[in-house]
Order: sequence, then C-alpha cells, then structure tokens
Amino acid sequence: MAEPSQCKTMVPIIYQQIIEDVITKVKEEFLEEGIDEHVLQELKQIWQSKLAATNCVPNEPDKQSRAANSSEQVASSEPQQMEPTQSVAIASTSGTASGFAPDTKMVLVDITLPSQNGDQRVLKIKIPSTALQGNQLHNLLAGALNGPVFQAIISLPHTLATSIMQQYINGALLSQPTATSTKNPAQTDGAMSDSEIKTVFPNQKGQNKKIANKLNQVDGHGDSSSDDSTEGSDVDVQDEEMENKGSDEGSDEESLNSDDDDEDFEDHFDTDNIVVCQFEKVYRHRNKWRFQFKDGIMNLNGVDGVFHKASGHTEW
Amino acid sequence: MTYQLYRNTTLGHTLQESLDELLRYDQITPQLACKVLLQFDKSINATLATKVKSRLTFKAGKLNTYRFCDNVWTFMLNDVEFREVQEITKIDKVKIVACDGKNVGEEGSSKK
Repeated sequence: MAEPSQCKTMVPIIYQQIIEDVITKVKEEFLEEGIDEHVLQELKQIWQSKLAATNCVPNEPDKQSRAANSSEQVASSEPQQMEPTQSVAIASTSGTASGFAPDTKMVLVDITLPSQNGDQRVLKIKIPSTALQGNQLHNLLAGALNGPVFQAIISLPHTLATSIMQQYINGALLSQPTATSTKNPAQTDGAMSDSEIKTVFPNQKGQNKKIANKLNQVDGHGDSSSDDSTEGSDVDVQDEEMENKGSDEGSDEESLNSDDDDEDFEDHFDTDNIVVCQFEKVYRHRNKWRFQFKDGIMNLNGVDGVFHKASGHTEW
Repeated sequence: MTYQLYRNTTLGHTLQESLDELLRYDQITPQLACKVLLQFDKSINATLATKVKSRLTFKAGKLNTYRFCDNVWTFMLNDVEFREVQEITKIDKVKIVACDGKNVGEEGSSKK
C-alpha cells in the first residue's frame, strides 16, 4: 500500500494544502482590518519562497532557483550585478512600506557579496531613496563589510542573508536618519516624491529597539506563544536578544511550560533533527521506553517528513 | 485542541519569518499576524490529523534526556533509525517534542 517514503513524498502536498488553507481562512481577517488583499497574496508568496529556500521540502528540485528569483517581492526589472558594496538603485518601487516614512520611496539595490567560495552572491535590498544621497549607503556598507554582519551572512543561505542584510540596513538607516534628514532636508525633498521625512522620527525609537529582536519576535508583543521566537538567522543579534530578555523579564526562564523552545532554537542552529508530534502512549519499564506518536512533522538531516503514526523504542 | 507546537517546524518558521517581514514593513499589525498564526495552528493540526497516512517506526540506541512538563514530553534520542517501509534514515541525535495526542478530539474529557 504505502509507497516507499510516503512520509517525504507527502510533504509538498501537505504543506501546500496548509498554506492554501491558512491563506483562504485569514482572508476575512485581513479585510476586516482593512488590509488590501495583495498583502495577503504577498504573505503567501513570501511564505512559499521562504519555504522553498529552506530546501527542506523533498522532491522539489526546481525550488531553489525559484526561491532565488522570488525571494524579494520587489519588482526589479533585471538584477544587474554591480561591483562589491557599491550598489545602484534599479527599478525603484514606490509604495512598498517599511519602517521608513510611508511616502519614502523604496528602491531596490543589489549588493554583491565578495565571493567566498568562488561564487558571487547578490543580495537584493530595499532601501529608501534618501539613503542614496550623500555617502550614507556607502558608509554604511563600508562599515558593514568590516563588521561581523558580513562575516555572519556570508555563509548563510541566500534568503536568510538577504533578510539579515535588509534588517541590518534598515536598522542602520533608521538609527541615523537624523543626520541626513536634518542636515539637508531640501536635498532629500528633491529626490523623493512628496516625502515627509519627519514622519520617520516617531517610528525610530520603536524601530531601533526592535532591531535587536526583530527577527525573533515574530508574532507580536507579549503574545502568549513565544513559541519559537528565535529563528535560525540572527547570528549577530542573538547576544543582544539574550541581554534584552535578561533585562526585560528578569531571570524568568521559560523553561517550565510548553513554550520553552529555547532549546529548539539552539537545535535549529545546529541544524539538529527535530520531530514535533503528539504522543499517544509513552511506556517505561525500568530503563526501557516505548513510544507511540502521531501527527508528526520531522526535520531529519535537513529534510522534512510527515507521519500519521510513529512507534519506537529505546533505553535510557 | 489545537496545538501551537507545529509552529516550530519548517512550515511554521517560514510563516513566522514571513509575517515578521510584513510586520517590519508595517503592512500588517501584530494582532493580524497573531491571527494568522492561530489559523496556521488550526490548519496544520487539522491537515495532519486527516491527510497524512504514513506510518513509521524508529529505534534509538539511547534515550539521552527526557522531560515531561505541562503535559508535553521532550526526548533527546541518540543513534536513531527511522524506518518507513524499506526507507531508513539514520541520525545521531534527534529531539522529539510531543504534546498529548489524547486531548485532541475529546476536549474537556477528563481522561488523561
């Protein structure tokens, strides 16, 4: 009956069903909040491309290339490779919101990473057009090149690297717009459509503070499920995050409830193998253990699998 | 019973990253992101329960660590061999996180 390794062949199908189901069912919520449906479609698209970029889904050989193409939603006519660090705005795409002022025009920029293993990688980053003026971006990237950020992202998968770079740039830009925008407001006006740079400022504090745990906090503040608040990508940010936690929550370690996924995040870093499931039976007799699990999702050796039932045994 | 533990999967992680991205660009609110995650919980619980048929067995050389807390088992197993029909996957180490499967479908049941 069961084909070999159904637990893997089913993965793309199951995942797609779940994605469709989620997207369909939250549609109303989006409309209720007055959020345009294209944002929902964008969510779906980002989700799918991120998923593809993990390469965890078996049997989808063409995914990687697709991921590379669609990892950033911003329309770029065609990515041109530029010399390292110096990047040039290509298709400017207004309307993409960000932590920057709503009217700020965002432009897409290619950053070519110095080749590490021989292959060059181009990260597409969105930046506000204001940052192109003066040496802001240049300085920023020059600083980043020597900093730990590049060291960290250079070995990461493309989308992760892009995402981290994006955050780094956003963070850096948001923490210093005072300089540019107050120094020569007239100039910034020139390049931007009808910008209100001042609107940047109210955001800043929050943004800066968020930088430290931006990647980690995925489901809003104080949400009851701090489930997997840490994703594998924030190499640099991790320390700060820990510090933040320490000061914000005291020494309150969330080790005693089902949200205690701190270890998961370590595991994740180690690309460890994890199975998430439900137990039906757990037997122990002396040092012998037997398990019956169901409804599991696994990531073993970097490949996802799903199972309806799994039974096993071991000794302690 | 809808568990949130599946957020700690590839699918869950990538969804959370995606939401994070939209949040960062102020395209959605944290509340909406939260609702999406809750819907994800429902969808993935339901889909796993109804659509997945594969069965597998495993044996582990050693149970390294175990913990039972808040009705959640966590196991660290070493030298594990997963088997589905003839396909075998061997790994040095795996972490298994398991919520109580009996609660599903009989909410409020006193049966533990």
